[in-house]
Amino acid sequence: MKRKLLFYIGISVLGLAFVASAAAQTLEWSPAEKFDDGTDTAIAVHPSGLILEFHRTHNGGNSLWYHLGKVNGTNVTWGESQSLPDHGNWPNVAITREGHVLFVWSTGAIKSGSDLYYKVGKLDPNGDVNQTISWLTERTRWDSGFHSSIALNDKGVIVGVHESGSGGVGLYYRVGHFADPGLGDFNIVWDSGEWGINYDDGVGLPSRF
Amino acid sequence: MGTLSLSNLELIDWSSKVKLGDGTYPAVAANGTDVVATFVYYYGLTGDLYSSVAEIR
Repeated sequence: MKRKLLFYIGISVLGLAFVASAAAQTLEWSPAEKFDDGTDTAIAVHPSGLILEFHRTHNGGNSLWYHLGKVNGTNVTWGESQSLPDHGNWPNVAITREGHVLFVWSTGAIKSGSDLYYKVGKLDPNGDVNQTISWLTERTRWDSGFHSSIALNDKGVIVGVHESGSGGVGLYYRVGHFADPGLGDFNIVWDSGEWGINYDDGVGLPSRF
Repeated sequence: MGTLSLSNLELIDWSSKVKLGDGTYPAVAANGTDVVATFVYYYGLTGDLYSSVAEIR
């Protein structure tokens, strides 16, 4: 009986711990601060605290820009606005632990006729917020499509997802890796095959169609 | 190699909804210590970019 009672008390304490743990996951956001004009914003954060923010100009053009930043207590210290070397829409960015920057974008402002490109560059993860990305590859088309997003992990696995391009529907993904970083070849080898793989139905933002 | 096992995705136990701001096109990234969000607020035809930070406890 005593053992049963202790068991129930233990379960109750564990339950309260889980409740406390869930409550602790509510984030306390700092007040939002304006840092530039623009739209189509995307962001990546390096373990060092270096932030990469990519966006498109706000005035209807298709010039693409980036900021580097650092978390400074409860706000971000942003570096100056710097232009990206390519024009387009929906930029997206990821950064490796070594500071390699993977930048993807859509050529079209709408799905019809839009292609997806990537470019790889390098930053010093411990450098300042006004350093410039050194580009290591040419702009490279990786699919037709629209509104892409990119991610990679510490094992070098790259995953890209996007909406279909002209005439298609649905969402597609690819899995790949940098060809040979040791020899400075940061072109992507797509291990998932020549074509994107359909994984679900869906679109991004209807207001863009 | 080269395929994703999407069926193994786990459901997220979302915390209660907290308003971050008024805007559109939200983006978020984290590094294990901090989480940073950006979003766009349109004032007429002008898009303003905003950022906000939270600490991951």
